Amino acid sequence: MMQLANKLGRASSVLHRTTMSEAKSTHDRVLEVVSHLTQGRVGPVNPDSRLVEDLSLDSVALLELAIALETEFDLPLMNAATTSSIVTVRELQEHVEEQARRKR
Amino acid sequence: MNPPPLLSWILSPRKDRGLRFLQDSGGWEFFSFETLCNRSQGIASRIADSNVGAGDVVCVFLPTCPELFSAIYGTWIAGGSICLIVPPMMFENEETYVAHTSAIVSSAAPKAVVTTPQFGNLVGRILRSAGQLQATVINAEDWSGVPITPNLAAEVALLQFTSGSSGTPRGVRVTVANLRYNIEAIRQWIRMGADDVTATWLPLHHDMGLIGCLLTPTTNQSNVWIMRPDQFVRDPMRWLECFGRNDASLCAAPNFGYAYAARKVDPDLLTGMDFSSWRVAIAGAEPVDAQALTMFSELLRPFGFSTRAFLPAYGLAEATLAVAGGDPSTPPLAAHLDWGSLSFGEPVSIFSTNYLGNLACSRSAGWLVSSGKPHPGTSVTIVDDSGNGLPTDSLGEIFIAGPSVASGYSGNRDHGATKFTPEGVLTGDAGFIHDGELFVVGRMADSMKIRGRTIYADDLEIRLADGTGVSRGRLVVITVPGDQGGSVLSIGEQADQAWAIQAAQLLKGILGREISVKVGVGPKGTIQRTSSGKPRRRIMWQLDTLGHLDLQHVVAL
Repeated sequence: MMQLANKLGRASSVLHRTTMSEAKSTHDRVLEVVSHLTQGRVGPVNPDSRLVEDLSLDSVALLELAIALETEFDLPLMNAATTSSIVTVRELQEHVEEQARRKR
Repeated sequence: MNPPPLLSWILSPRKDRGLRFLQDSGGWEFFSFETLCNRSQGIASRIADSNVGAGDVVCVFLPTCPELFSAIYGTWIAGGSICLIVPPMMFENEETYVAHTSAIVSSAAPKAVVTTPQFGNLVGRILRSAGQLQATVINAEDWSGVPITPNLAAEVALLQFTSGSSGTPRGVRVTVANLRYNIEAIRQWIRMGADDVTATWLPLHHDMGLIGCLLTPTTNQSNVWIMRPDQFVRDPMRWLECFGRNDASLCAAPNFGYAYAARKVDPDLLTGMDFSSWRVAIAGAEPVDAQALTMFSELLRPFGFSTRAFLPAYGLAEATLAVAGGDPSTPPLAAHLDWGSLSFGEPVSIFSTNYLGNLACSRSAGWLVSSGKPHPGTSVTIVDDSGNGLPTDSLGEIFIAGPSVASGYSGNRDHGATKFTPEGVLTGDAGFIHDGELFVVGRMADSMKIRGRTIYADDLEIRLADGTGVSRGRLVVITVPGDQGGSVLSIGEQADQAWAIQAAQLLKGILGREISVKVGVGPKGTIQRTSSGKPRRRIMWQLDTLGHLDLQHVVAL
């Protein structure tokens, strides 16, 4: 898993323990991962951006996104069922925060 | 050519050969052809119990797994036709997914559905939404039925759905005879031996994954290493290991698969690997991208990979799969084109040609890689707008005839850029033949491919009209084949500069960085239309190439 994390090499910031005061930083870090994936080609990413409709992420890019988030936040593997209701970056931020909280 | 029957391997399935599936725990699980044969015959009996008769459709709703294999062959043993349904992908919106899948299932009208209990609720929702609740749902893991004798009575073996414009699915009717001929053409083309081993991560719901990487090696009874597409994206190293540490020698992938592996794999992890037995790496599904292949071969060459392994290929579901391909004994040929002078029906201006491995300039723009020669038995000609043959080196539409051409669309839905004629199939792809080799320039003005996904000009027009408030009657989107993934041209009638800027940004957002966008504004009448109001995109592409479109407020991104 560490090998995979190194290879993915995305936004490899130190893993924080999520506390209430750091909840905001989880949101920021999710935003960072998404922005890194779109590389500015579709303009700025904000919480209201829709992953498919506004950011034009295709199925491979969406998989890459999931892998990057799992690695960054040390989350359980995401799948189609747990992600089917996520449309916007905000919903993704909330999902990641919820998963990170459960982990604790 | 006398291709073996589709089920010939079932008469004497090998115990020592078979399929290896990558487990999520990380190991590979082996299933011999003998085991797979028994399971297929067992599930065939369940399928036959559901009154599936000759030509009845069975929808198979499974991801890449051993049960998918037994469901496919089990359906054929029982005499049915298969229609493979892809389960939802990561982040796929459930509503959209159910709507899209229901349209396919409704059009397929299945007698039975083979799936696993984990998908039970979703399959139920889809069948209800498709109005197909009469279909019997069969558990793919129940192969306990009494094995039945193969009864390949169906004419159509496979309904291969491709998405038309505005998401309307079209099912290509691929016959048993089509599959036999195409599988044999692939085996002869790549000189497939009994000891060749395939390694694949391609979705089995598409022609290249299903026919090229599963049915062909099965007919050949040779080993296959199989991963799901998401397992490849997660860790492309697992796929490379099949070649570098294990015995794999054959694969097929679209350009972006090679480019993705090259981007993601840490070269340090390749130490100790040996890719010298990697004999065939088919590059298909898009116009061949010399840069992607060069990146990949630069990464692996120090470890024994030969650029000669790359076989560019051209194919489409409407011709079963394989149409033309590069010769395994020579490196791919590339031509340096004068792209600016490309004109439909006219000779193509070629500055020079060279072999891919020799190209010092392979990364520079302007080189188009050949898709090789047509496979034996398949005829490829270049035709003009009226369907008349054009001389060699002329740019026209690619027309295919021969025993691999499918028997049309289900329900005769013939509204896309690809059209069946009594003689063959008009592909909607522009290309030319040089020195006996087929060069595919790209889709013709109505659609384009980005990372393997087809984008339709019709759909872009709808999104542009929605996003800018200028009605579709006053705008047009034209896809233009080009040297680096192509470009898109859009024209608005009686619009202003603000519209041009907004439209260009919107298109760029949808298409991404690799596609260039040009938007201009013209007076009423700039957009040429047919009597029924459809835009004449190819003519406008032509006029723009010749500089005959007088556009204002041009924005290029």
